[in-house]
Amino acid sequence: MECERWVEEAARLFASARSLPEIEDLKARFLGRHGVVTEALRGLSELPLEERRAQGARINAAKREIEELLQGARRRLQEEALTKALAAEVVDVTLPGRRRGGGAAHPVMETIARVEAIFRALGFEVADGPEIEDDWHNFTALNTPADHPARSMHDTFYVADSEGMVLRTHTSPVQIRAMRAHVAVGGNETELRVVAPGRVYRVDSDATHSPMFHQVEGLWVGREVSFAHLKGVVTAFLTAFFAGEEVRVRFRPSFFPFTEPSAEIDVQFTEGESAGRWLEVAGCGMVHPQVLANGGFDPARVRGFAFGFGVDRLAMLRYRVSDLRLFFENDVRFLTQFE
Amino acid sequence: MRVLWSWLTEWVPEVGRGFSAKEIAERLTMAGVEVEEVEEAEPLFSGVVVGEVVRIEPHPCSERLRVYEVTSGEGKRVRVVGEGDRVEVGWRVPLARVGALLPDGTAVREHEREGVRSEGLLCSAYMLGVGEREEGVMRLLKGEVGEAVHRLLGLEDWVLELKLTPNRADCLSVLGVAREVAALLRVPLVAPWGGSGDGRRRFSPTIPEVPACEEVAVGRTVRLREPTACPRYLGRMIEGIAPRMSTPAWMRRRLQAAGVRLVHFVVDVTNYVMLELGQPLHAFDATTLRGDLQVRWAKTGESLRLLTGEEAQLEERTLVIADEEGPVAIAGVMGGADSGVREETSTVFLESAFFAPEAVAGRARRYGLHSEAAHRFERGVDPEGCQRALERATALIVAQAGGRASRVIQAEVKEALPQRKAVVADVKWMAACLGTEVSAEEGAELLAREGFEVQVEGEQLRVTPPSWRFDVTIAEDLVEEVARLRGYDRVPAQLPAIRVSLRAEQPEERSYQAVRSALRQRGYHEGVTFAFVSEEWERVWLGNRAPVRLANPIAAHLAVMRSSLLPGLAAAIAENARHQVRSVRLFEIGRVFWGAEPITEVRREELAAALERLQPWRVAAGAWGRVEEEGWGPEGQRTIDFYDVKGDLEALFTPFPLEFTPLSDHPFFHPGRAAIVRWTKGEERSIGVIGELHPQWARALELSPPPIFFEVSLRAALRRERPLFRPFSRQPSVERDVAVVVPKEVAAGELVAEARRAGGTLLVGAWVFDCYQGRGIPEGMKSVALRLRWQGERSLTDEEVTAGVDRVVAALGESFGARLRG
Repeated sequence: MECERWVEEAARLFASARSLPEIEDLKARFLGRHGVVTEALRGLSELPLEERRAQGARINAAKREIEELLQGARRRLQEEALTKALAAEVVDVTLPGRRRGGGAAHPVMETIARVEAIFRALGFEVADGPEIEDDWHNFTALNTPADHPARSMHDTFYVADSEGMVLRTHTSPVQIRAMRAHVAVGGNETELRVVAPGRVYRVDSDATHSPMFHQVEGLWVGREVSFAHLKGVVTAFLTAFFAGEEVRVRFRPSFFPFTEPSAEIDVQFTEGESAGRWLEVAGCGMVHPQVLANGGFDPARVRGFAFGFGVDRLAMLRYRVSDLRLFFENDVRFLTQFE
Repeated sequence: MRVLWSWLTEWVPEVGRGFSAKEIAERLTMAGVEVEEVEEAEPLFSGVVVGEVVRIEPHPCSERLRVYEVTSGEGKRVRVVGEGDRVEVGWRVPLARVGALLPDGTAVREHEREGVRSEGLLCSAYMLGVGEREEGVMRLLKGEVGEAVHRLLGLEDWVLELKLTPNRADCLSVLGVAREVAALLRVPLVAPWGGSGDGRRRFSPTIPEVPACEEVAVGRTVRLREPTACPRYLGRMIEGIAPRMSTPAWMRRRLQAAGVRLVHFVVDVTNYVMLELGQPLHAFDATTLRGDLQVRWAKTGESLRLLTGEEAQLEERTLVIADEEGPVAIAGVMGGADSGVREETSTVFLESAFFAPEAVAGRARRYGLHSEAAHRFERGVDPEGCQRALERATALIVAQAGGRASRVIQAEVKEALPQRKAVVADVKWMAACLGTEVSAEEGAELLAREGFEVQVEGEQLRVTPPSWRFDVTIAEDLVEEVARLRGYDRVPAQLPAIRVSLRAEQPEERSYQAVRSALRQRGYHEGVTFAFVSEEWERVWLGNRAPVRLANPIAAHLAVMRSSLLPGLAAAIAENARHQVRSVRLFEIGRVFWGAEPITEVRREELAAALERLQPWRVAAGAWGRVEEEGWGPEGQRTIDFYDVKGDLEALFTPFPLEFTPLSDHPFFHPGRAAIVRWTKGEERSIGVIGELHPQWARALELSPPPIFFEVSLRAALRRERPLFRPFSRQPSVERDVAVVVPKEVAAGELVAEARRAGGTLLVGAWVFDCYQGRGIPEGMKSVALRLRWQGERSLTDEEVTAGVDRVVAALGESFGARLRG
């Protein structure tokens, strides 16, 4: 039968076609204006009605089949073309992405951020104070009058031609400022919790001392505050700060003119280069009643505790940096390690 | 302070027997008397090892001598020539090898005796300083061949290096440390001159008096003109001291371990007694003193040549010891050169006095001196120890160097001596301070151990500190004392109940952490540069005529406080550029210093405003080199220019628009490539600067091409605004491009601003998409292509847009002489 032959032939030809234009040419051979199927349909009118119906049905069925074959062939060729195009468009995914390398955080600044975050979670606010400070805030208000032997613990930078102005030797003067600011607004019986990170300065420069370094001061004044609380807060902080490492904390009696009792805080790690050694990281104590009074509080009604951490020391321990001076050299080879 | 362990344990013998130096160091440290280090002391002798005698032969030329062959470990054999002795083959003996150092100072060398070479010495107990008399070569009954003999005999010793806080001056002596050890371990304190006393004397041993020689006259009186500064002064003469006495080896050893320089026998003794008992003494050559002595403030114009050789111009509030001719010593600090003991001195006047801390504090520093005496007096010396120290020194001098002592003369104003007032503390209150229970009995017991006088009155402790404790004056001091003696580790660590109030972040401000993070994302590394900089940077690079200057800078190039972060960043970039990198981006957030006036504002906002005025926070960044450090495409090869950094700055402030106006007179920047950064939001108009480093400085820093920097107020960078919704048009927008030719000097920003003005409300966007000079454009002119985006509430007609574009072109023509590019 002719119709079946057409279908067979179309199937064979379409399958061997290699391109879309070729398919369209082949389509014309069957379904074009002069295509065999079109011609046959056109020839139907010359047939008698009975025959016309039967023949028409056969031809139309063949036409549908050929159209389907044609669609299939088109799809096949389109897919082939796409595959080919995709293959041609392959990129080397291992070439580096086009970007600026991200900048790195300075480990000391990152440490300050971490300390702030931990203390904020404990309800502390962050306070700020001047770095060029007056003698009263830096020393006298902290129980360290002129000629006090404790002043020789701090080798102070003095500002020329400005009587009594110094570069603050510690962040403790912020305690005084924070207390006075608090009392001015909140009265002298409400609770105060602040931390104050920042730069401090001492005339000292060698492998383990930088003339500029960082501290973070903490202060908690309240009615029921105790030395046990000081230990609790500091221990909680250090545990959080060194999360992921096993750290032991000890408190050792010491002396600061502005705290009584006073303590040094040592930490000890179980791993790493310094494992087993006690390392000093902070000084702390119960705020001296005179200092509370200088801050505007009534020492008969409130107590306080304060602590001061060496931020650079914390950063050195956390990132295992061996030389303090690296922090102030701004060497990109060092900084990029902290991206 | 450095103390020899054997010296310390002489005072607390029970501890010496039961504990190691390290254990005691740990106990002291945990009680607040920090022992920084325990190091092995220089041994009494060195190079002496256990040797075994393997052969004894007669000496070929001497009947008296023998030749010994001795093994000294590691298979070595040594030949030693020695006296005939009872030594037998098989004995183990102390062999001092070549290079050994013996207690009397002998250094052992290879030597020849009667024609036979000897490679060492066989030692007697006496030679090693452990026997009373010479009894021949010592036989060792234990020990391995080759072992160090000083260890075998238990002669090793340690030096405890104490790091004392200023409050514990009472521990600046062997007595003081021993007292602390005795209290911590509850063992008796034993004075080396025998007798341990009882009651309160347990802590403050008395000493027998050296009998006075009636023939020795004191020959002078002492007047206390300033009893508050010096309420007690003891002195005595010692005559007939053998001159050029050498200090005994045991005393030398202790002084040297303490790091004290040996000077002269008498001075060495005074130093020894100071180290032992904590009381500084001074010895005058009595023949140089003229008439009576007085203790008074210095008078204006007086001067004194000090032991250091320097001439000190005395200030008025300096306490001096003066004879009839003038000052002979700065009290409690240093003696004068002319009245000091010298080699031939045989008559001394020995001073043992109490000078009040206030009278000595700061004086040594004022004269640029370091003095062990001043170090002790300014912290507080036990006023009850004067006599003990004077007797101790006298006894040591007389015993070693002969001499006869006079009676002691004593000037004293009892009322002016420091009074130890009773401190009262309630144990319940103490417990509340500590956060742990304290009973009256326990508190009393602990304090009594330290020499405090304690009366328990119910829940109250009435406590009188001993004369050597200057640091206990308020109840809080007792809290520390009790906690310390019990151990800080016995106070529990307890998190308090934390009352929280929710304080939302201010919507008008973000944290500076956000600024750090934004700059990092733009590829900038965070730096921290010194706040003190070179004066040249301030004066020349920044044109700051009056920087804040330091009186005592650490180095000449770090002498002034920075008024800008820029030079520090530039230097840091230059330093990095030397390390073969292709690009560097750095930023810093830090304070700059515009004035050193005191800040007296109290309230938070006022304080913040004062800080902003005098010591504001700035954020600065600099970039140099290739756009990408290591790129592989063409884009990354481009050099960072002004517009890269400007883009970074704008990104930092997004969504707030910044304005840039040319800045040509900032010495740090290229005069044609810098701008003032302005901000229309808020009260601040100018918030900073941006620009390319002046080629002059770029050359100095060897940076080519020059880096680009900005510096702006951190406060401005923190400013935020709560975004409020504005309805937006959903109609499609239409874009039209116009290219105009204008004189080169016309700023693109002004063109855009004019276009926006002229475009009216339908012009929703206008920006430059091309800027061109060169072929096809007349000399001195440039072509600027603007893209104009139009949008309305409804679809715009072509005519509306064209009319708008025409308005813009006309306005540009009118304002800038712009004409359309053909």
